[in-house]
Amino acid sequence: MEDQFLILLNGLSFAMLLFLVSVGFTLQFSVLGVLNLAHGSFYMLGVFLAITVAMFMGNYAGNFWIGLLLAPLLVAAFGAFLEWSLLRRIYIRDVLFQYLFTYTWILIIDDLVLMIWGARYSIISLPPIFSAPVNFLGVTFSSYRLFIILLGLLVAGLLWFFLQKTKAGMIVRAASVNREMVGALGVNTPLLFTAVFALGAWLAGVGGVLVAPLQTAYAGMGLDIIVDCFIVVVIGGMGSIKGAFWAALTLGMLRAFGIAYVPQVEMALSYLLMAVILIIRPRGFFGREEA
Amino acid sequence: MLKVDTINTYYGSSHILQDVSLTVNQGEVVALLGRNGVGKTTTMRSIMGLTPPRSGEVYYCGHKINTLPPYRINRLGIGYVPEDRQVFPDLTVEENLLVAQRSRNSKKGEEWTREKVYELFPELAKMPNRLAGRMSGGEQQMLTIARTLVGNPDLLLLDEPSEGLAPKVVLNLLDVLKVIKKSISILLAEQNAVFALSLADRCYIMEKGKTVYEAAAEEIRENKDIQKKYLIF
Ligand SMILES: Nc1ncnc2c1ncn2[C@@H]1O[C@H](COP(=O)(O)OP(=O)(O)OP(=O)(O)O)[C@@H](O)[C@H]1O
Ligand SMILES: [Mg+2]
Repeated sequence: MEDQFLILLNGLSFAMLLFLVSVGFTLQFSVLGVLNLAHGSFYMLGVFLAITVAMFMGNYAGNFWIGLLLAPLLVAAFGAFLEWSLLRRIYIRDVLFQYLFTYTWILIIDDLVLMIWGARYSIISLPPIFSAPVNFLGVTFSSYRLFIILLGLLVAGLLWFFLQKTKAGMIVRAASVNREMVGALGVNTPLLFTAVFALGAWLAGVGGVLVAPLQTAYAGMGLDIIVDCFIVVVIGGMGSIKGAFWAALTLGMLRAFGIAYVPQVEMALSYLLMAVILIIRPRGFFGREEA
Repeated sequence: MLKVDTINTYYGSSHILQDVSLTVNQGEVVALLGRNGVGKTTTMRSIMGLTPPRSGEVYYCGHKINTLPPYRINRLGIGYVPEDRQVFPDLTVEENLLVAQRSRNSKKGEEWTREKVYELFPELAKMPNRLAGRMSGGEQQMLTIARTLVGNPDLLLLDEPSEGLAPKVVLNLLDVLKVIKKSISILLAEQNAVFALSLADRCYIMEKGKTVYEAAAEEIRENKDIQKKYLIF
């Protein structure tokens, strides 16, 4: 029983990381209509920027927190610049151009990372306050992973509040069904698109920083996470925030319990789930029905 | 107030509007009549910047607007009510209005607030929390108009508001528009000429992407030859 609970907590922490990254991906898609294949590369930038901040600060205990504050902001600024300077020029183009364009940025960012950070594999140490595990509801669990779960839930809550209760959030929801009409009603859509793209990039950056102490960083890790994002978005429903949350949870659990019970086929499980969903409910948990 | 000067608009390579010109004066209701597919909607979209004309100019209150993005055109005071309603289906009535709400300096004192709009559309006041996608066609039509009103336009582009509505709802709509036209100039595209002529001061008749006839509404109401020729009744 305790074991299962521990697996559940591990699954939750993985799910929250996945949610943070894929919700940005799905948000960008729902408002801009562009599948940003380079979204995973923004996540990777978050990881490497966190490493750089940690190196700058040396052994200063607060380096992780400064990284968590700074790195996602830098990633968001980079995203905003990319949208403003280049991406907005291809909204009217065929989606193939859009895929080609965002795919190109996977390659560019991978090379940038190799140039700046090199091919070394690096990892940062856990912030000191998370060095000891905690006793949580009767099990001994990594305090850092517990922090990830809580932060993920907090971000999910804030996003929900923003989208449901603020005027800007309503505009985002309106734009996700009808961009043209939102513009005709006086909303500065170019600015909205830049802001949403930056928010998506920021979320990827947060996910990246959180992963930095858990996983060694390598150029190319963006491609790995984008595959997971795709699975989340397909299962949850294209462009659905709620869908991203529940799909990330499902996938996180599947992976955690898969590793525990059927490690040989764990890798295949998420693809299998996606295939099943595609067959029985092609629009995913919360996807919009095709008009 | 609005001057459309020999515009040509294309969808891809198909040439839709051919040298269309028209004007709307302050306080006027101008109807754009014509059958299916003659280019009424395209004219509206050209003015609004949604399908910008490839040549020709559009002026609004002294501003040249044919190169501006739709949101700038809206902020200058042109409100757009699209033909197929296009309410935001996942948003409530109240949220649909909030998204569009915009105050403009020129309107101080006589702004369309949500309260005033609810007074004009008592049906909407009864269901502020209803999802727009769950409403009837007539209710959605009222909501699109209400949504554009809270943006406080000085000129309203109304595209076939009577389309697909039950006769009783059309009468209700007529009453509403009679109130609106007291303070807002209107360019009204319609296939339903009887409906349009009961509101309009002046009319343009369109055929195949061109404005072919212009007259006072009264004149068209009385001239059976014109009615027959353009088969608009
Ligand atoms: N998106 C589009 N792509 C290509 N052609 C289009 C498009 N929209 C409209 N058209 C064509 O442009 C012409 C004018 O269409 P428009 O919608 O402006 O007519 P309308 O007068 O508004 O007709 P209706 O009374 O049916 O609303 C039509 O021949 C139509 O087939
Ligand atoms: Mg039309």
